[in-house]
Amino acid sequence: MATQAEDQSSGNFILDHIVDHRELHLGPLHIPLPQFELFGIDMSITGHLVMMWIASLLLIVSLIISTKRRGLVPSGFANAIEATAVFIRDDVAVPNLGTRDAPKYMPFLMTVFFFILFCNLLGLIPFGQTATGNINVTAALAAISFAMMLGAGIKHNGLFGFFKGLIPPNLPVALLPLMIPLELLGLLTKPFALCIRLFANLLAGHVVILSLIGIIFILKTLVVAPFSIAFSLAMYLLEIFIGFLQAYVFTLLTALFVGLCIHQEH
Amino acid sequence: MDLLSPNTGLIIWTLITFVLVLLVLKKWAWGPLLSALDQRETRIREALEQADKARAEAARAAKENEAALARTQAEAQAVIDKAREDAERIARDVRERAEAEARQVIEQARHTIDRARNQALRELRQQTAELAILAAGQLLAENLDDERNRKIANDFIDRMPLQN
Repeated sequence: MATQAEDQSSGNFILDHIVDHRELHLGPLHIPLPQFELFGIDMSITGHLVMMWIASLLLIVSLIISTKRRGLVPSGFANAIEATAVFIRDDVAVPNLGTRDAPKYMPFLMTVFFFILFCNLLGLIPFGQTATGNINVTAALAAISFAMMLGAGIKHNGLFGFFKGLIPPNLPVALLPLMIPLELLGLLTKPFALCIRLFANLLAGHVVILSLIGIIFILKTLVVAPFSIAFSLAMYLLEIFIGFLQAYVFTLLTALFVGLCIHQEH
Repeated sequence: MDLLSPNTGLIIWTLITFVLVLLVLKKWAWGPLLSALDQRETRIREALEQADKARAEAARAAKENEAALARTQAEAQAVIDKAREDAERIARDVRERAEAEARQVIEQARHTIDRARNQALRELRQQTAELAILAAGQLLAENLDDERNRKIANDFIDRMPLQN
């Protein structure tokens, strides 16, 4: 009975670290956050939101500092930012959007990449939490991506032209009742996949690390500690990689989907 | 809170946050960054184009120099050839003229010699005649009566050539 209770508490300990809270958890410190409703919607500030704001602030401050006082030849952090910008432009934006449209979407794609990256990496810092491991946050990001897809598609092809372009040309009329819901579903699947992919990837890494640490406390022995720590260290490094990878994947797929909505003939 | 519990407030907050971050970064970070990138790329492209142009220019100049050098060499060769020809021609002329002059001088000298000899001969004959006449006069004065002397004188006069 006692072991089951401990197992339960171990599970809670993992869940406690990955779910959102109405207080800001900094280790043992629980700082209360303002709770309020606006127009009947619960607009309470939560721990993940605070983390997202911290990440945003870090992002804005570091990027503005790095772009200030620049000569024609960049150095250090500014150089890394610039290399990323060039990479997103030449390998993400231009191949998917075309040379003509790419510059218009560059600020958006860059912001998506760095916003997700900073949120991902903040979760790896002690006391930090991963805002992108919250499905509400990824849903909102996917919604923004979806809005960009629709907006770009309608802007380039017209409202009617865009929805007409969703259906393959020269389709027999008899198939329309089948194809219209299918294509609409296909359109909605894209942001849904973006949302779930980011959420699951960021969540899974944390769950694995916390599980590996949890083994020590469940088995109550120091023998497994070296293995747990070694494995969780490896996972931690993998999570750094995943933080970059998922930010890149989200940006790449967003660019790809927006490109598909602009150039429907392909 | 649950892992998958929907939180409309958080969704709205995320949207607001993202849009704000996007606007702030677009104004103060991406603008300068992307324009700096473009600027640098334009500059590098221009520099490369300029280098290409300069290289082409240099190649053209080198070719021109070579052509000019060849032309100059040909001209110099022509000048040298002409000078040599002139020199040879002048030398030939000088030699011919000298020879002609020499011939003339020799001719003149020969004429002079001829004239002088003729004159000498003429004078000698005259004097010989005078001497003969003198000798004859003396002989005549002394032995005119002598038959034999008269005969010798006559013979002498007879043997004398009439002229030259």
